[in-house]
Amino acid sequence: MLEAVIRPFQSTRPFNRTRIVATRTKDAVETAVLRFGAAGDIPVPQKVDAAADPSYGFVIRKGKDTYREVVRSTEQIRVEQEDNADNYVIIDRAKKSTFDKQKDPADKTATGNGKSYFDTNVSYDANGNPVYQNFSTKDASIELVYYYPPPSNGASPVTVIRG
Amino acid sequence: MPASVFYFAWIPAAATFSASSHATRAAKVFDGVDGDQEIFYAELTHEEGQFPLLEVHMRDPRVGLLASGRNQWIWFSRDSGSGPEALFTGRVLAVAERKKGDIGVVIVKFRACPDDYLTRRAAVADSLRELPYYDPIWIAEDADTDDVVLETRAAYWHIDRLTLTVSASSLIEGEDGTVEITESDAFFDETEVTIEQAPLQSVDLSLTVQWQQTASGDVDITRNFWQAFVNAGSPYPYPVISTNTGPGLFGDWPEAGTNIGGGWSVGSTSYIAEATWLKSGTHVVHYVDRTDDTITYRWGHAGHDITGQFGFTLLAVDNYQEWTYATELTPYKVNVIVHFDADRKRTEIVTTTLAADVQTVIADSLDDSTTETIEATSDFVSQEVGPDSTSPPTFNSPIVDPARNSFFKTARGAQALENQLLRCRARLAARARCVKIKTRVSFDLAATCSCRKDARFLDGRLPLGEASGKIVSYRLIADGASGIVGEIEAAISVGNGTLLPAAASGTGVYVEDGVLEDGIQARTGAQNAVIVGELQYQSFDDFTVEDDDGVDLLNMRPRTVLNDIVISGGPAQQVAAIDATIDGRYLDPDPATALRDAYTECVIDLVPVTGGPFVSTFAIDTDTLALRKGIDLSAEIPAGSP
Repeated sequence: MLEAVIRPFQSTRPFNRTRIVATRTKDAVETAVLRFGAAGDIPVPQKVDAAADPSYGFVIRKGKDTYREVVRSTEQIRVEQEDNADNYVIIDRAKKSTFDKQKDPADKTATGNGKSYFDTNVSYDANGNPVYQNFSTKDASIELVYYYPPPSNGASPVTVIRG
Repeated sequence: MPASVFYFAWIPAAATFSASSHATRAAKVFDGVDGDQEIFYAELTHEEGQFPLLEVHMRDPRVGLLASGRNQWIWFSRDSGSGPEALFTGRVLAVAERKKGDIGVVIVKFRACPDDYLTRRAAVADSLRELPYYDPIWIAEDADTDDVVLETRAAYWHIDRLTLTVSASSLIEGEDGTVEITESDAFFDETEVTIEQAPLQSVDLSLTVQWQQTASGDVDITRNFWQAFVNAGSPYPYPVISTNTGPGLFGDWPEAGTNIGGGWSVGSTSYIAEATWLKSGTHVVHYVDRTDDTITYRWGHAGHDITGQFGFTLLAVDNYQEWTYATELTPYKVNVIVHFDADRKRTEIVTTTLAADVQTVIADSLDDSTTETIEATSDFVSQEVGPDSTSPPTFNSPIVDPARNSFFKTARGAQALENQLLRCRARLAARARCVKIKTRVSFDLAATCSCRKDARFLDGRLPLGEASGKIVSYRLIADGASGIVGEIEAAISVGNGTLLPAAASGTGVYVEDGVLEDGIQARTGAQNAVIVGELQYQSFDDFTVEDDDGVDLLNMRPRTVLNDIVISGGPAQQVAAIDATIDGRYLDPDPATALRDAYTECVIDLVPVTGGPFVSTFAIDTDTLALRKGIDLSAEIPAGSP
């Protein structure tokens, strides 16, 4: 492979090639597997007072637009805790990202069974999953550019390049 | 020619010859006129690798040879007219022999052996203990005698009959010059040319070394571990992982030193700590338990409307129970270090055949005596052997770093092969001396011989009229009855005498020579010369050792030591398990049980670094061994020869 990098147009020599001495293991070796993790203390469900919310907390949605990220350029930065540099994370900070509008039928509101009790305008597919309609059908994309630190003149730290 | 006068001086101990002290009137051998030493016969014999011996027939002293007051050393010398010249010094062997019928005459033998012979020989042997001629990895400790150093040098011990100097002398070529024997020097009808067994054609060599490949160290697999969590739905950046069953994972985190198996353990710097400086995530679901599907009716509003008409409301109320379930996605900073203590059995085998470039003395394909086999095995490559130097003595492990996956590919390993190739060469060279020429010469000419010299025979009866070889024995005989005479025997090598071309330097694998520095550029087709022009073999650079498990103990990296990291019950799977419980009419299981069943479990699967043996085999090409041509068996006898 190295020769291909150094001399990409050079044909390989048919003779005098280095021979690989494949070393074979005769005996089976023991395994080296580390397995850990446990359930530990699990939180318990909390009963909700029915009188407090006669609507049962369901969210009714008739439609939505979903923009999904398709391109992002990033840079790695180390973010440390203000008073303890040992506590840190290395993150990929976005410099620029692009979003395209897409349908996302899988994204449904958690309503218990995925249906709304009260929204009769929502249609359902053969499996009983809700089928949402987009508010608009026009294709669009958005490109955002981020500034670090934010501009001192009060301008938005995010610039929409194309919408 | 004046008559020879011999002197036989008894001396108390080995000493340098002095004519005034050792060629005196008292030491003179009775020559019929005068002389105190009644010696009738003296024969000096020196054979290659043996002590020079002097046998004298003398009048019986009628006293034990070791009797108190008797000197035990002698100087034997001769004056042929130009002054006394020493011939032999030695110590008496204790027993005087008697021949049947000889009354009053005993045979006394003397050996030219210094009292401190073993010390002298050991000193010489020590000076010869150097690579590649001497390699302790092929010598068992109890077999490391002085003679071992000669096995690869094609040499014998030599003891000088005058100085008692101990040295090693090559059996291929004499170190102290050549004694030329012309037709006028040799007795015409006393010259013998004989052939012993056929020369050895080749030696098959098989070398095996075994060692425990050992190494220790840490490998940081934190990033791989973090990536596995990211793949399992953890949203935090490096080096933070997260789980909805944090207490379980935290509590079950393996302690430093925990044995993993296969030579692995948890590293001492491995840890997990809650990343309190990061905001934890929360997953909250609301759901209705519809297990109780009965409906309770109760009266609602009742009264009169604005028209005064009475009315009421009937309310129907279900008995479903609403719940909320919240889990916390806890972030943890981790440092995942695994420690290895590798201990692998390794075996390396080198096979090659060293063929001799000899003349076709006996063309018989059925003669299996023309091929020999040398097999050697060593367990010492990873042990301290030596010394590598004597002042001060230092002992080192030949492989230096036992983590290496190859010994023969190191410079030291190549020397180990060279050592055994030299051993093969010694056998081939010894067997190539299959022609013996022995002739009678004058006493004076024989007296110039030693077993450190060559003899060159100029005789028209030989092919091309001459032959040369190492002197393997000579005799000087002084007989009161028949006179004085000498005898010389030499071993003649039947090699073709063609030197090998220069060892191939090989070609660069990557780029032309000079572009890359040595050590970076790989070469192929190169040869190593053990003895320039005589012995060379294929370089180990032509071979690359790759273990079938992919582990290189000198370069332990996560990608080579990790089989896999599997995170089951990652954040995404946990959320999906919780959500799945509220996707039906009845809660079975409930979200808490679902989360308990989907607790986070980590499986780190590493490549074992114990076991074996790992076996590597090298088949090395060796050029034909160039051997001395002492006689041309294909040449014609010169015209006009007798």
